[in-house]
This record gives sequence, C-alpha cells and structure tokens, in this order.
Amino acid sequence: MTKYNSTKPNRNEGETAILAVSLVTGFLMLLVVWMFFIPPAEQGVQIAYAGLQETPTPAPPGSVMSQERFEAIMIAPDPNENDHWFPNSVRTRTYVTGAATSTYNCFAWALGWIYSPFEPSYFGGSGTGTVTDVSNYMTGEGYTEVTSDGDWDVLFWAIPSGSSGTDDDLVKHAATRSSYQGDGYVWIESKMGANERIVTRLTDLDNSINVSGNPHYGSRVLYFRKD
Amino acid sequence: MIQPKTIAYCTILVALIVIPDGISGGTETSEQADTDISKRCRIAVAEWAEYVSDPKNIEDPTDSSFESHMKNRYFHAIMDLGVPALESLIGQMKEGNRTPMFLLELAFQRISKRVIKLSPSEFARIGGGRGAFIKWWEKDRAKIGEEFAECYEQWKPLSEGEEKLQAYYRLRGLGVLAMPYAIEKIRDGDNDLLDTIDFWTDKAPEKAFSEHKGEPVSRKDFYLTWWEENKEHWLAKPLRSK
Repeated sequence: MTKYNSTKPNRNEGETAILAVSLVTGFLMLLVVWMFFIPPAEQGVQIAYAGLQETPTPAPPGSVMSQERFEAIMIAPDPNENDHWFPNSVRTRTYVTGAATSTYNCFAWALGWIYSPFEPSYFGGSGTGTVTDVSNYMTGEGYTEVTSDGDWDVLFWAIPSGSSGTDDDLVKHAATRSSYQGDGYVWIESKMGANERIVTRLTDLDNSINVSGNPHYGSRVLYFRKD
Repeated sequence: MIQPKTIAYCTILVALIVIPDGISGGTETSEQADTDISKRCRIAVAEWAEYVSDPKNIEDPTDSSFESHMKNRYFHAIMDLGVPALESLIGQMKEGNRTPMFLLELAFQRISKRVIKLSPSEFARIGGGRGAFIKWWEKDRAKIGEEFAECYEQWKPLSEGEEKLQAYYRLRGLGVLAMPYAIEKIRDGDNDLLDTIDFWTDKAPEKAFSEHKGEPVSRKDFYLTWWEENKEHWLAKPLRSK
C-alpha cells in the first residue's frame, strides 16, 4: 500500500510536465502564426470593429446610440408599414450627446436654452408654430434667414402645406449645426422630443414618417444664421 | 294678543340670524367650489403625468411639440375643468412639485389660449414658460381689457392681408380671458369675432349651435345666449388687490 502510493505521484508528475510543455509549445506556435502571418492593420480592425455592423465614421463627441434606444426612438413599432420613423438614420452614426429628458426640447436646444421646453406657442404669431410664426420670430430675434447651402447655424423642419393630416405648415423640429463636421458630410445636433440629444448627418432625419404613415418631421424649410 | 311691535322685533331678530348665515353660506359654497376644482385639477394632473410617464402611452416619442402627450383622455379631463382650473395650475407651477413643469405649461396654455412670445434672453431672465405664465396670471392679466381694446383698434380698420392676419393673431393670442370684451363687441354687431369665440372655447358654442333643434336663431344670437348660460365656466376670478 505504501509502495503503491509512493510510485503513483512520480508517474503523474511526469504526465503533467509533458502536458505543460505541449501547451506552452502550442501557444508559442499560435503566437508566431498570429504575429507573422496576419497583417497588423487587420489585427486592429478586428478589435476596433467588434460589435459594429458597418464601417464607423470618425466619432464626434458622444457615444454611439445603443441598439435598444435606437429601436425605441428611431424605429417605429407596428402598424407603421415601413417600420421606420427615420428611414435614413443609421445607428452606428447616431451619437448621443445628451441624456433623455423632458426638461428641454428641440426648439429650446436650437435657441440655446436647456432649462425648460420651448413650446410652439412661444414663437408668438398664431400661437401654433407655423413656418411664418417661426420665420418672424427668428428674424425678430436677430437671426438672418439664409438658404440651405448658406452659412446657417439653426434649421427647422416643417410639414409642407397641403399634406395629409392636420399639422401642415407647422414647424415640427429644429437642430443646430454640430460642432463636429467630419468626413465630408454636414452634421447636426438636435434634441429628439423628450428623448436623447443626438448628433447625426444632416440628411439622417429626412423623410421621417409617423405611425399613420404621414410625414413626421417633414422637410427642412428654414435656415438661420445668428449674426 | 301679539303686539305689532313684538312682530317687528321678531322679524328683525330672524333677519339678523338668517341673512348673515345665508351670506356666509354663499361664501362657503364659493370657497368649497374653488377647493373642489383645485382638488380635481391636482388629481387630473397627477393622473395625466402618470399616464404619459409610461413610454408605451406615447404614440410618438420624438414629437418635439408634445402633441403626443395631449392625445389622451387624461389631458382632456384637465381641459374639461376649464378656466377655473387655471388658478390651480399656477399654484402647482409655483410649488414646483413632482409634476413635470412642461405638462403644467401645456395644460395652462391650452386652456387659457394665451400666447406669450418669449425671446431666448427672456427665457433665462424669467425662468421659461413657467415664469412667464405665473407673471401674467398674477399681475399682467389685470390689463386684459386695455389690451383687448388696443388690439381690436389695431386689427379692425386694416384691410385683408398679412398685416391684418398678424394683428388678428395678437388679438386672439390674448386668450380666453378676453372673451367678455369680445362678447360685448359681438353684442354691438361685430360678427367677425364669432370664430374667435370658437377658437378660445375649442368650438364649444359651435358644437352646441350645430346640435340646436329649437326655433331658428342666428349664429350671433345663439352665441350670446350660450355665453349667458355658460360664462361661469369661462371666467376667471379677478385679481385680488394687494
């Protein structure tokens, strides 16, 4: 019994040593293959792109919106036949720059105020936030109306007159030109209702539709420069 | 036999007991009504706030003008309280309670129909829409009669066009508290203000007029009768002098 017990540990130590040598050799061989046969650029890409579905743009301030929030905010539930509210938007270039809050809205953000919402009636005029109301308000506040290719700081979307639904000619959204302007595109920053403030490409919020299939934010109609 | 003198004394005694009691009873009823509307308003606001706090109840979470927050029966329950609820809404704004301020601002604006144009610099100075509405309610609304007279005089002589439209918006933007002055103008024959009454009241008289089945009556006469029958719902208590 004692003899048997004294020889068995010796045999196990030998097996363990062989196993350890094999593992170290295998690891070293894999390391050599990785270092010498995979180009360094691709090694970086594999790490940096993990979890992303397409080539990311250089990141502006903020972080890419999570899949969960993107689905909640930018993609509509049924019965929207197209299942999208913002069909041009792409999650991997939708950057969150401010937390979801009802403390302020897009109009407040566009006017440089983040401590309370700016309700359309505050534009004055008809009290409903028509294109004319906003145009008169902005020019009265020292902004100059410019064209879309001009040097604008603030822009507004509106439902075109004659559209189906009851909101035609009403301004529906506002944004500022983002401090980030990269990769050859125009980027904007806007507060999405009571949701996050985001940075997107200028065209990402175009062609939006609501759950009834009608225009949601409408078209970009007013551009202003702050003098 | 009872002397006439005794009867007179008794009458005076009864009058001294009953009449003050009646007056105080009336005051109590009025105060009770105020308390009642305030309680109902607070409950309605709390229910509305709870309802819209659930994202599932907001049809459009990216709506920047908060229209989605108003498409539900809880908001309409507040609207149904009418002008008497404005005092309570202001009270809740001043308390700065748990209710999101923008909900109180929305409810106040949609009932009062008061259009307050706010510049970005004013926003910071008076504390946003909340500050503007409190200031108007507690101070500036005392001048509503003068404002109406001024806006009316600016609007009426203008010929049709953009200038007249903008002048009309200024008059309409005075809100529902200007209704007694508009009614006087209608009484004097200005039927152009009938549509303004509809705007301020969310078409309450128009609906009643369309359902009218009695003797044929002109729209003007119907609106004037409607006003006499319903004005308590559309009048605010005058400001207390301080």
